[in-house]
Formats: sequence, C-alpha cells, structure tokens
Amino acid sequence: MSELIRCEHLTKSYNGLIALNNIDLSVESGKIIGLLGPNGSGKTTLIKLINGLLTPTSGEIFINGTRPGVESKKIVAYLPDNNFLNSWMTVEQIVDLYTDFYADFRRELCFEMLSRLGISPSVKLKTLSKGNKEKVCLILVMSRKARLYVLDEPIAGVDPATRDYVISTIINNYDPEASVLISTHLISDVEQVLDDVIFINNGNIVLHKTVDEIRQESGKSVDALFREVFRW
Amino acid sequence: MVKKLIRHDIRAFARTMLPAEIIVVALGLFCRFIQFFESRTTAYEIAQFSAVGAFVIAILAALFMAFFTGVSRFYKNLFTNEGYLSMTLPVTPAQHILSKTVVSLLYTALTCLVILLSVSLASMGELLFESVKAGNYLIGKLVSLVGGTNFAFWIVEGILLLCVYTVNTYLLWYACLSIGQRAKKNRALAGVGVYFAYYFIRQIFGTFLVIMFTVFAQTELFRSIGYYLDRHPVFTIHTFLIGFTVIYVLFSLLYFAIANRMLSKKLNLE
Repeated sequence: MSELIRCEHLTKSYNGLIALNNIDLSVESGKIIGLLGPNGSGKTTLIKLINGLLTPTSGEIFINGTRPGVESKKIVAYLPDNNFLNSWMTVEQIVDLYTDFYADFRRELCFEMLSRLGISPSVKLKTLSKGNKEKVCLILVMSRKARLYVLDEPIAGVDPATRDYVISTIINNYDPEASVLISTHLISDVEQVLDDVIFINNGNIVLHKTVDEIRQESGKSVDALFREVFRW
Repeated sequence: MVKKLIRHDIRAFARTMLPAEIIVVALGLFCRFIQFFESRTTAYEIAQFSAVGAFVIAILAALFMAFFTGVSRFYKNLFTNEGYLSMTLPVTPAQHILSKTVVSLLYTALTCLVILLSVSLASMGELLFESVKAGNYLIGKLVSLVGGTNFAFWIVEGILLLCVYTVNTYLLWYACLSIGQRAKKNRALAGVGVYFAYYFIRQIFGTFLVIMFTVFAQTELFRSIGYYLDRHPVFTIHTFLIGFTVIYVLFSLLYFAIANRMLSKKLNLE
C-alpha cells in the first residue's frame, strides 16, 4: 500500500474564517474512506484542495507525492457536489471530452453503463432529469481507471433506489488498487462499504480509524458513533 | 493537450458565434436581394432602410458577440461551475489561457472576414465594382511611390499589429478577471472594476507621457529624430507598425503571466 494523500499542517481560511485548521492526514491506496462530518465542517474544502481548486492558506498537500497539478489530475477522478457539466453538450460530446483528456478513461464501459440506464448518447444534458444528470456525472467519473476517486456528496439529494445504484456503481467499477474518498453525511447508506473513516469537525480531524477499529473499540456502528460525536 | 483544448473551445464558441455569423451573411444577401426590386416607391425605401438598418445592427452585434464570447468563455469555463471540470483536466493554466486566446482571436478574425464578405455581397454590382476600382487605383499609386516590397511589408505588419492588439485586448481582460477572483464577493464585477481602474491609470500615465514628450521634443536629440523621420516616411511607418507590435507583445506577455499566476497559485473556486 502506498500513500496517496498526505496533508502537512494544512490550513485553509476564507476571509479570516478557518475552514481547515492545521490538519495532518495520510490516506493509503486500496481503501474506501468515508469523509464524514456535519455541514460546514470542511469536507468540501479538503476535497477541493486535493483537486487543486483551492490554494492552501498554509501547509502542504501531496497527491501521490506531488503537489496538486497536471500529474495529480491524471490520477484523480473527481465528482463535485454540484452540476459541473455544460448543459448544452450532448452526452456523447462530454464522453468525447473525457476520452480526449483522460488517458485512463474507459469509453466502452461508459457507454455500456449509460445504455443500461437507457440514456442515449445523442441526448443533450439539459434535457435529462436531475437524477439522470447526477448518474451521468457519476458514470463519467467511475469510467476512469483512476488511482484516487474523490466523490463529494455522491448520494445527497437522491432517492433511496438511486443511492443503491450510486453505491453499486462505485463498488463495481473502482480498481481495488485505487482508493475512494467519499464525503457524505448519509452514513448508514455507505457504512457497509467503508474501510476507513475520517471524522471532520470545524476544520479539524477528530477521528481517523478503520471501521473495524471503531466497532471493536466503541462497540458501535459508524453511524451511531457519528451521532454521538456530533450531537448538538 | 492545447490542440484538444482548442478543438473543444472552437466547438463551444461555435454555439453562439456561428448563428450570429449566419445572420450577418443572410442579411447581407437580403440587402442585395431587395435591390433587384429597386423602385422609387416609399414601400421600397422603407424596406431598403429596414434591411440596411438590420444589417448594420447585425454586424455590430456580431462584433460585440465575438468579443463578449471571448471574454465570457474564459470566465465561465474557468471560474464558475464549469471550472470544476476544466480546472481538474490534466492541463496547465497556461494551456487554458493559450487555448482561449487563440480561439478568441480566430473567431474575431472569422467575424471580420464574414462581415467583409457580407458587405461585399450586399454591395455587389456597381458599388462593389467602383470600390474595387478605387482600391486598385490607390494601391497602384502607393506601390509606385514606395515600392511593392515596402507595401507588402506594411500589409503584413498591419495585419500582425491587428492580431497582436486583439490578443492584447483579450489577455488584458483575462488578467483583470483573474485578479477579480481575489475579491470576497461579486468577483466578475470586481474583474470589470479592475479593468476600468487599470484603464484609468493607463490614461493618466499616457497623458503624463504626452506631456513629457512635449517637453523633451524641444531638445536637440528629439528634434534631430523628428527631422530624420520626416525625411524617411517609409521607415517611419515601418517603425510605427513594428514598434506598436512589440509594445503590445510585451504587454500581452505581462497580462498572460498575471492570469497564469492567478490561476496556478491563487485559484479559489468557491
């Protein structure tokens, strides 16, 4: 197992408001990690820093040994928590874009997953329902043979059946050598697939353990422990 | 990777620019078409006036759209939701800026060509014939005065200056919009503010330079330079064209460096 993400004294503040506070973190390959925390805890900030969409206020972040940049972007597949696709494009055009830029993109697999959902490549993204748009986004991301998948709230705002689809798509398509970092607060839905858990609160890492350790040490499920740690 | 970016940017620009250009050509053709029904009636005059009016508006709109698309595509593609994809592609910020600049220049040039073509279409017949004749006469006169080589170089230098000026304009906007990203909120507006603030400072600096020039023009050195330029008008025009091109290239490099630094070291896609 190699180290995929390393944060050293990483701090990010927005106009004086600290979103991440001097965190040290190490994530290894071959794991599914849950990044769990309440709203505003710093999950999305950490994910954006991993993807080079934010610049750290201080400290360092390394992805597979390099700072976020062209090399890290080649190996990280990122699913943002918002609709990031150009709505005027057809599904095929966006697949072409992924094919052009990501050497690890599995085009055939992508079309296969799309056809299973009955989504035609010629359809424009703006004509798809919100749920189908989110599925297309997930399919695009999971069609990459990336070293690290970073999924920001992939199951938020979707119905339970879609949640199952999202989770099974993640499990069936990621490379076991790769790592998957899933940010969510719907813990019970993802708990069964997680290897490791990171609890984050007010920009601080409050817990980083394996799911087995949590169960053995506290005798509780991750969901129950989360409710205890983050109780108001 | 730049080639791929350019291909995708060309496609994105085409979405707004091609319809605009088709409208310009269609209105040019329409202006020509109604000339076949020329008469001294009020109805014809109204129709002709309306067609020419619409044609002129379409030309101005196409020019504005070419500029606006060039600037807004940069902002929208890199700093809004689209940025979550664009800025996570394995390409450098410099490649993004280069691609957007090249495609903006291409569409500006294409729009100018389309306008030229549609004006030619609209004025086809006597008017175009007379214009070509007059143009030929003027060019012939100039060539006989300065020589074919000098004239050809002027044309090349002029086109180069126009291209560099266009690139400079886009890169200035890219730099300003990138600096605007440092604002806490209303970042697009802040970018526009940066542009106008810079424009204002540049005007003041320009005025100061003119004053300084007026003062120094009285010195012996400047007088002898002025005398030399007066006696060598061909050289003066070459110097003017190349000099401005070099100045705009230098400023373009500066704006490119600013936009690149903001995107690579200060990006905060919130």
